[in-house]
Amino acid sequence: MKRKDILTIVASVLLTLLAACTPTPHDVKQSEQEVEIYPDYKDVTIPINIAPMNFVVRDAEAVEVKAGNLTISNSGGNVQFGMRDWRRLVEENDTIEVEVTALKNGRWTAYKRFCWYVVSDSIDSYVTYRLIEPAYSVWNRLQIKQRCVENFDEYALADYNLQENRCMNCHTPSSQNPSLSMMYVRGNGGGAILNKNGHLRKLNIKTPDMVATSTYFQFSPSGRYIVFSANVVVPAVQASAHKRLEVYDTASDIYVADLEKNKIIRSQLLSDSARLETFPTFSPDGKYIYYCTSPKVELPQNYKDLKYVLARIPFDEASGTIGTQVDTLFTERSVCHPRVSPDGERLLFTVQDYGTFPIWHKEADLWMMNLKTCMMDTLKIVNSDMSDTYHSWSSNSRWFVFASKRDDGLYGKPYFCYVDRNGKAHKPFCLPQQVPTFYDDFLKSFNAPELVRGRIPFNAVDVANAMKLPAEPFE
Amino acid sequence: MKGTIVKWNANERWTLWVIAGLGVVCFCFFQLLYPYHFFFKGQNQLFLISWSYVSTMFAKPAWAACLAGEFLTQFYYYEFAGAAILTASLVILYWLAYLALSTLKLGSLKFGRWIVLAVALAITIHEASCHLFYGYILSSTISLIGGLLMFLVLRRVMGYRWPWVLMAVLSGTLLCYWMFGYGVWVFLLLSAFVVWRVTVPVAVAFVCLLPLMRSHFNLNFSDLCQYPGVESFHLPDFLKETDFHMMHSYETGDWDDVVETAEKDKVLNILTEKGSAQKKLIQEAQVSSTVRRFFYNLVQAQRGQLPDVLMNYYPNYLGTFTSMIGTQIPWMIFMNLHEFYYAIGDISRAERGAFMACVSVPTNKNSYTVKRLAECALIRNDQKAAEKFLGLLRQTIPYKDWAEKASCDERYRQKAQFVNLQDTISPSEDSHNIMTQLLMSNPKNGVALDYLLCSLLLKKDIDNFKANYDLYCAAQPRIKKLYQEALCIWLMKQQATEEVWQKYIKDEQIRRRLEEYMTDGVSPRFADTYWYYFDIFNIGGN
Repeated sequence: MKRKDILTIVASVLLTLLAACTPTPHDVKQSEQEVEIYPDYKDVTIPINIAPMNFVVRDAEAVEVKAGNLTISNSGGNVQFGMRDWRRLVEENDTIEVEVTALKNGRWTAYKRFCWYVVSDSIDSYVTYRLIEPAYSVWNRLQIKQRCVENFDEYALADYNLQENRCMNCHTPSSQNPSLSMMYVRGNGGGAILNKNGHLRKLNIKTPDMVATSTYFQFSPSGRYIVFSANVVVPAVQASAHKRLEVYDTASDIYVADLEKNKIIRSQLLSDSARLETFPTFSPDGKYIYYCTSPKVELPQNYKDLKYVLARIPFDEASGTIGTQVDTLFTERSVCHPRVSPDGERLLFTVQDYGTFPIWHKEADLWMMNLKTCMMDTLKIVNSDMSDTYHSWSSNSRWFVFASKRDDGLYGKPYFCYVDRNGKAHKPFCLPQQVPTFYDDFLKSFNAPELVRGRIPFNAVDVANAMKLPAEPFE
Repeated sequence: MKGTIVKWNANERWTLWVIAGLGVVCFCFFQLLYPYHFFFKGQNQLFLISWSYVSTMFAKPAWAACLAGEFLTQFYYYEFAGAAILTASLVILYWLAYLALSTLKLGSLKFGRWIVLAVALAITIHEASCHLFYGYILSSTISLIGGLLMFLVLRRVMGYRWPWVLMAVLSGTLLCYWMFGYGVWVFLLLSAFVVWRVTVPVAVAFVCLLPLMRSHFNLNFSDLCQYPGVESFHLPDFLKETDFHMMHSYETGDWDDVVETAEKDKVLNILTEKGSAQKKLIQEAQVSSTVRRFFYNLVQAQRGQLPDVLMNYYPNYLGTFTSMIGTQIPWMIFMNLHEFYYAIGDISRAERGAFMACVSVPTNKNSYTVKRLAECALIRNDQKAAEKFLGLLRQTIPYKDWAEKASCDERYRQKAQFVNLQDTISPSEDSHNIMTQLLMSNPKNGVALDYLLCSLLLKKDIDNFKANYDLYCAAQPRIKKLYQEALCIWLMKQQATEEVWQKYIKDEQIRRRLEEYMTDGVSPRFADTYWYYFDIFNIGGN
């Protein structure tokens, strides 16, 4: 008998024993009730390349799940798909009907079926995020990671252990391109770490005339420029027991940095001392800079009067010059984080009642503007009663990821939303994890998620080495 | 090898007596003189009985040591368990060290057995001394035990032909590092004594290859060599032990013990003697006394007795003059400031303080502050957030029972009546503003009122004290000796009429004593009065 045969027999015996230990449904009661699963994956639209949508049936002693022609039985409430089975399932079905039968209090119940709608529009295969406690102004042990959304692989891009426990800020790619991206490492000797094909440069973008160091930034389509805001950020505690933190800027201006010539491009219109300008981003054709701006008010007394409008100003990539005409696009509510879809058709942004820090605003929602028709979609199916913000598009403009605190109001998690060819948004779903109860035990927020087309070609050790370089100055 | 050990065990019964003695001494010392360090260490982690938590340990070396260490450390919560677990660990360490050293042919030397005994004892004593430091974890001791165990398991193979020896040392090194982290150095050191020709090249190769693991484990070279952590020799820190004692008594609700400990505490009482200014310098050197005053005042305030005891210590510490919660304030206060905000009813700041305390411990997880976060969520009736934290605590052994019952606890609904309802923000910890807002939300918040008035008195801000006294005590005068004495100062300053004096000063004895004070001048016999404090002491940084 060959070794392979012996292994097969042993595996079969083990599986049989395991199956024998798993209770099988009997005397099943049919119910029209919806099953309570976590994460809420009921009737969601998923990309063909997503990792297995593992979930847990709360309080279940055993489960049997039929998804398409696949059946999974398990003692306990966890439902975990094997990678091969899952791949076959999503590749062979457009609509996967899922039937959950669960044993609770000694009784089997078959719940109302739900569906997974599989679309062939793939999502970018990686998402990057910062892991941080929602601990207000003191931080410790930060990590920036990239996760493959097609499986459960996760890699560190920057790690506190290798960075002398410094503060690190969001990693942002250029047009979802893993070969060009940037992140900040703060503190003494810190700087902006620029990745170009895995080669890292350390930049000191701050010049003496700026009110603060750069905070929010985005690349131009060519990757030659970044547009960034320099913000004086002040955290303030909310008095009300039903609110938490308010963060506001006392000063903020926008600049463009030429990464080839190490030169700062300025405009009076973007650094008006009477106004606050923030959250800049380029349009996909590079012809405009979209940003948010508000007149300055007396702070902290009048913090509720901080209402940011959405505006844009022309930019010429060829000459590296900022235009002179500012267009105001949206004034209904206070706007944060505008992001234009890569196809240039839609503008996604966060709205809230006031201010500039939506992650602590329960009312913060995502809205989407059709840039051709100027029609607004309030994305009711996407938003929740908690903060939904910090979004990033997939390179095919069919998906976006955003951070939502809908589960507990404290910890942000990455949610993915499908936008079909008609511009209709579908119900979002949370980043799948190998162990479906992962989020229950996890005490970090997924901060500033960004979609990337492939794996970022550097790791935390490379960043630690880059930190030893002298920072390149800008003029 | 085995024969030698058996012979030693049979003939040298005293070895067992040494072990027994070591165990008794360790247990007695840690249980009788150092028990509160265990409680503190037990809190500075959140061991969850869940696979998703346990699986996180594989991201770093020494997973077995960390798993066993953290699992056992959670029992430090219980009385006697900490001393028992540590004693057992140290006895095992000693016994394994003794066995491992016994195999190194030292026994054949003239004083071999004494050398073995002394070295094993020195290792154990050093390890015990490390545990005197509040930041040292049990996982590190288990790493050492793991290294010794690995050596003993593979020792027999080291007597075989070199391919077997190479395989044993190589696999032992990798396995030992993976499971026990820095325990690998113990394994390599002992192996080098037995088969140095094989061990030295393996050790050199291992050290050369170790930097390649930086990107896998995300650790720098120094941490890779020392994981899960090493420490130098420490002496007992009984000051810290008393701090932890008061912290423990406060957290477990034994407030009588907090008061008793403070009142018996030499550091507080030698230094204060009712206003003896000459003791000030010594007192300032004692950070611990700040922590103790903080807890003492916290208890007295919740008993409505803060004005009665405010003058007991100088300089006193209320925790109300912190400009911003941050690492610039003493670490123990930083860890416990959420207690102050929780006591006065500022739930936003209590939650924030708990988050920040949780983040400031080595693993970013502190079970007590997770409990506090659950309490804050219950008070603000935030079911989703409460469920997050209660769900975590239900997966722990020490807090499981509490988490099961917490959502039905009536105390949280009662406490909700005292929370801040004002809709404003503050970029600093302006405690005057915080307490004013709490009193506006609920004028019956006596804890906030006393903290407000006492803070103003410590600052000698008599005008503001009087204004706030009028505002919050007009309907229901708060007759306290301290407040009456402070009001006397204001009345004298204003040259108030007898009618006004009558309105405010209800205690005739206060007026009589004031007359004596005015006649006799500043004398230590008035050291218990606010006038003495007002005239003698300069305002310190509280």
